[in-house]
Amino acid sequence: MKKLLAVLLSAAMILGLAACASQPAAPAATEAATTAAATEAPAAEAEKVTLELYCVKTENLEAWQELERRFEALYPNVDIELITLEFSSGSSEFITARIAADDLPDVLQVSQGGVTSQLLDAGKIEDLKRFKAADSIPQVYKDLLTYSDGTLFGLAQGAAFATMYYNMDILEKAGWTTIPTNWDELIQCCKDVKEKTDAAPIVTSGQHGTLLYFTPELIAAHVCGLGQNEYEEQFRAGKFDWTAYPEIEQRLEEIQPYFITGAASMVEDDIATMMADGAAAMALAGNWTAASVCDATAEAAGGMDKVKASLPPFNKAGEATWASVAPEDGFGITKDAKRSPAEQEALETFYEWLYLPENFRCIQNSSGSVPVLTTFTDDQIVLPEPIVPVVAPMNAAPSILMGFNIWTTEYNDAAKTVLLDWISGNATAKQVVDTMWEAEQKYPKNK
Amino acid sequence: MNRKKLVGLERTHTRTCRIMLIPAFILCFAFVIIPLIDVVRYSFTDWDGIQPQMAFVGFENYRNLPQMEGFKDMLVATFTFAIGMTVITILVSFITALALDKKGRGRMPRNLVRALWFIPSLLSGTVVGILWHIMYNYHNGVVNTVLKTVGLKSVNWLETYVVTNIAIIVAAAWVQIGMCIIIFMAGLQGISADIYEAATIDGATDRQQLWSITVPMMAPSITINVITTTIGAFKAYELPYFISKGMPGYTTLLLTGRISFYAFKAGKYGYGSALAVILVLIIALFSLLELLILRKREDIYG
Repeated sequence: MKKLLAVLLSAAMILGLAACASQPAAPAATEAATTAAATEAPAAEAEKVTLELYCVKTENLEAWQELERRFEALYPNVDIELITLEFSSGSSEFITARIAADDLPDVLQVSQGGVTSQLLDAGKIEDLKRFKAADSIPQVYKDLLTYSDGTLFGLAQGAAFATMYYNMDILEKAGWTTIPTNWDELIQCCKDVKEKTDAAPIVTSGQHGTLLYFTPELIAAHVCGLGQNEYEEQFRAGKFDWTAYPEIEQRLEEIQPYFITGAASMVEDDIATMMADGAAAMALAGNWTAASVCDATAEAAGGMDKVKASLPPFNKAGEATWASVAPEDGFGITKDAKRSPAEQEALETFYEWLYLPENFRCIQNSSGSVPVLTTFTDDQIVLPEPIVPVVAPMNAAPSILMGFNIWTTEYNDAAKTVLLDWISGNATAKQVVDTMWEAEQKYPKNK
Repeated sequence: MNRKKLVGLERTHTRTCRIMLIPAFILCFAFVIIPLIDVVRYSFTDWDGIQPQMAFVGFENYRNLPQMEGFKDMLVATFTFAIGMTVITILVSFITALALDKKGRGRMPRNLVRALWFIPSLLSGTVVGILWHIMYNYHNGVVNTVLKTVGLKSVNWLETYVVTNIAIIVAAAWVQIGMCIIIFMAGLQGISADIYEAATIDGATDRQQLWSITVPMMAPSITINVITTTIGAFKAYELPYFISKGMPGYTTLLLTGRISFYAFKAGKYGYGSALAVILVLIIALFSLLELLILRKREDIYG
């Protein structure tokens, strides 16, 4: 009896394993069956196609879902599968795993460097020059998402720039009826807020690398006396010496005490929370969260009229204010030899449709990004009220590229670590500039 | 039953056992042994994790490890975390198990307390990491709220050297304690009441009974708990990462976090694999050491 039971159990397990092993063959069988059925079905019935779209989860998720619904209503044979992951929750790991499985999403969010570079090196991303949508993106943003081999790998979803948001209610309590317009005023304003109110002067997010880099890169832009693109060129060549400009260290020292305690461990959403709680007077953040930061600040300040925004005033009195800008990540198309002609057609149709102004405005307006589509009409763009006056100065300002556009992963790791230590008061400004310069020489392959 | 029949039965039994082991062996081979061999192989290459090409680089990845950003901090963080978590977990769970095992003392609802301790071990490391990250928040976290309520100052749990190490150890121990309590309680219930009764008649105090009866007879449970907790601590990734993100500096960035960084973010799969091999060796060495030491105790008292 025991023997029989043992044999039966073993057989059951082996069969189970065999069943598992045969699973991958199932889709092929199903596909064959579907193809056969399709051949028999009336020719008018279009092939059912599923397209995967991957994007980083932000506050514009609802806009993406709305676009998904609209496209599926327009093309009932196409099923859009939206995959979203938060930036900090393993989005790059997700793509890496999908690369390993040779199962990349059809459309995916791309950026400069990081996993995108690896995808490009592996020849997995399409050149988008042939798409009509590319004609509606200004050349400057196309250049920023063009790889060294000339591949246009993404079309930008907007223009991002560093923004300072102000709770005028707190500023007024500190004796400021207008916003600071230069570095000295900014430091004085921070001092007054710290001394005269319960709020911290500035909140930012250390865990969102881009926001963390704003301070050093904007300081560098304002104090080094370099022209447009010079910092980027020197940095890429590993020749931008952070230690050669004493004013960078001095300014880092000046501003550090005015960041809110705990800023280093804060994520981007914490900025809005702190502003809503009235815990900070100013927020150094991106324009892409303008909607939520302005709403939160208005809640604490008592109305949107008490919310103001500007380019971070890191300039000397009477000198130009630099903008820290970047094309917000773009969207690219993956190459897949296994894709059927119907799938490829649906994919290209979807991509062109996505960048039509009447569709793309959903994404554009949900975050407050500066529009990049030249085909937008004025009535299609809705920006948060405090952001409107900043767009023109941003477009006119000399600009420095946001750090992530040129910093490689390992440089980024070293720089971010020391900057987080600095913002939380564990490292000195000297340690910051020394580490950033050392890391620049140690990891010279900056793209 | 004659001897021939007995030998035949023995053979059949052995054969059945072998057949029954086949599925487990296949799974182990496919999902543990082969990937492990692959990791060792990749550690000698410059593979970026994406492109099919990879070049053999010998021991270069291993030689370059000490030059890695924060290498020393990472090693200290990993060992501090593993040792700290193991010590706290074993001590707290042993004391709690002893308290829960005292029959008929007080009105403590034993099962409820045991269940409350056990619940955290059912949660994923990511959930616990995020939970404690929120609890440690400087401005509105529950830990600082409690401190402020009792008139103490807020502590920057997530950005202060040494304090953050303690913070992640406490959170990790909180998860592991429940499981250890269950194992300790099973061990305690296996000790015959007669032994304690005899000791009491001989005039042994509670303390003497604890050190001379309970602890020695719990040696197998202690071995299991120490080894599983240490291995778990060395393998921990998501929990400490989601609490502190490696801050401040690199002082809470564990070996596992670095493996993930190099393999999946920096495009240096070979380098990440070298780190993974080091981790496997550390775990094997620690487990062996613990086994040798604790088994010796088991032999003495067993």
